[in-house]
Amino acid sequence: MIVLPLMIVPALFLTVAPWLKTAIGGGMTSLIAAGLAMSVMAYSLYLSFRAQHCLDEVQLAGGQFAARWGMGIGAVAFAMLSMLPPFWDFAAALLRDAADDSGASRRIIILAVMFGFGGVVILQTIGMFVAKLMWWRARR
Amino acid sequence: MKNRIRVLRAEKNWSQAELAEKVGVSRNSINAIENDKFEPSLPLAFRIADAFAARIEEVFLRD
Repeated sequence: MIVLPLMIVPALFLTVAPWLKTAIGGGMTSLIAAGLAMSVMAYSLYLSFRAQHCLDEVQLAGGQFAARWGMGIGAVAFAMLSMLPPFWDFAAALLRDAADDSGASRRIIILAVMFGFGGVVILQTIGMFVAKLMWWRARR
Repeated sequence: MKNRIRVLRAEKNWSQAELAEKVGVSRNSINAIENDKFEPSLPLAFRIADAFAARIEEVFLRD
């Protein structure tokens, strides 16, 4: 329940963003997006600290194992995915859909970088989750 | 390091969850310690021994 804002706020913003752009302009929409992004990040950090505070030493060891190996697993997964042509077809299609004609080249570069960064972060998170699962499975 | 947590738990008729609550850790953590998959720190080992009202060497044994 407490993690719901992390999903609801971005989803809500993405839903109303096109309307906001026409109503208050792109600049203000970007400012609101930045503010919301910082709020969501701050809230997720707060949740992370709160969760870590309640962990015992076995859970902390599991978390450390996941952090140590998950990052590597995520990075390798991204490198392997980037060797597959369908992955780039998907990325190109996504960028083509997201970018419009005005200032497209700059936007495409920014989106490409953001997509790459986002992809690595998401895969690293999944990697950490998998590593943690493995750690706990080995100790069952 | 071996331990006698399972035996001591059986003597007291405690579940892993009950011991976990007394010691202040999760049930999964007790399970990992009990099955020799994780070696607890000295403070946690003492807390586990205290929960059984036993000496630490009665709960944790050398290999």
